[in-house]
Amino acid sequence: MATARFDMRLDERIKTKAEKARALLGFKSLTDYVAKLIDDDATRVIAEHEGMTLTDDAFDRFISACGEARKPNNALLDAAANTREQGI
Amino acid sequence: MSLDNEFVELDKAHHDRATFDCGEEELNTFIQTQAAKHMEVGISRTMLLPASIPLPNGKYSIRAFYTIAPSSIRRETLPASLAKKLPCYPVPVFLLAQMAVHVECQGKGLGKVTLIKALAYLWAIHSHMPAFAVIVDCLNPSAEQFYTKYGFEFLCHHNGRTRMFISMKTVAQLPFPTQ
Repeated sequence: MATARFDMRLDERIKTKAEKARALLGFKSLTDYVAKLIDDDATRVIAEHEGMTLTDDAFDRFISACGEARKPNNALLDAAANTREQGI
Repeated sequence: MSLDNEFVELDKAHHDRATFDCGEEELNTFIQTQAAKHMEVGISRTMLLPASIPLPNGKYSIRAFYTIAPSSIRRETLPASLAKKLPCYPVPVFLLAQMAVHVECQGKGLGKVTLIKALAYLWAIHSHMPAFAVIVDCLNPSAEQFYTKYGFEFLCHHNGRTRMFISMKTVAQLPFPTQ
């Protein structure tokens, strides 16, 4: 696997604590530990950002509402007309 | 305060992010420190309405902005019979991730103009990247009131906030000026 460098400064207290956790978890080095943490967390953060999950009920209501082609309400139509008048 | 007449993409070399204040810390922090970064790494795009006259530092203050991102929706469980009926899954949606108006411009209808511009922009994107709906997360009850007024419907609660949506089939019926 190709690798890239990433240097980081770390509070000494955190480093001591991390070394202990690293040993307890059986990682060979602090680098391995940090790399694993970043990988897991980045996967979670990106997955959370990119998609949402709805309960079955909410999902079904959502899909059926999307299919209905309801008309925009008057407030939204007025807002569109108003925006046009302002030439923005 | 005079406004420019066009929403443009955030450009930190031209737009003064530091002076933006909409009264909501979270949105101020977003435009000041995160929006440009998010655009660089492809998370979201921020469009803004600059003032028409530059500040003494040569940059233009931000009067209003909105941030959009693609997203998708899954069902907790997906029976095969339902999966067959869905043209694409996870269901693609647009996220109207952020929207704010500078305090100096509030109370003049710029919020609804910003909303319309965001919907018009998403409608244009929809022609080559179709989506089912536009989703918003309401920061507070007044945001929820704002979106309810313009026909957004309740979707779910998420992280203590109300999540709402408007169907693209509804957006499609708006008379947008040509882009």
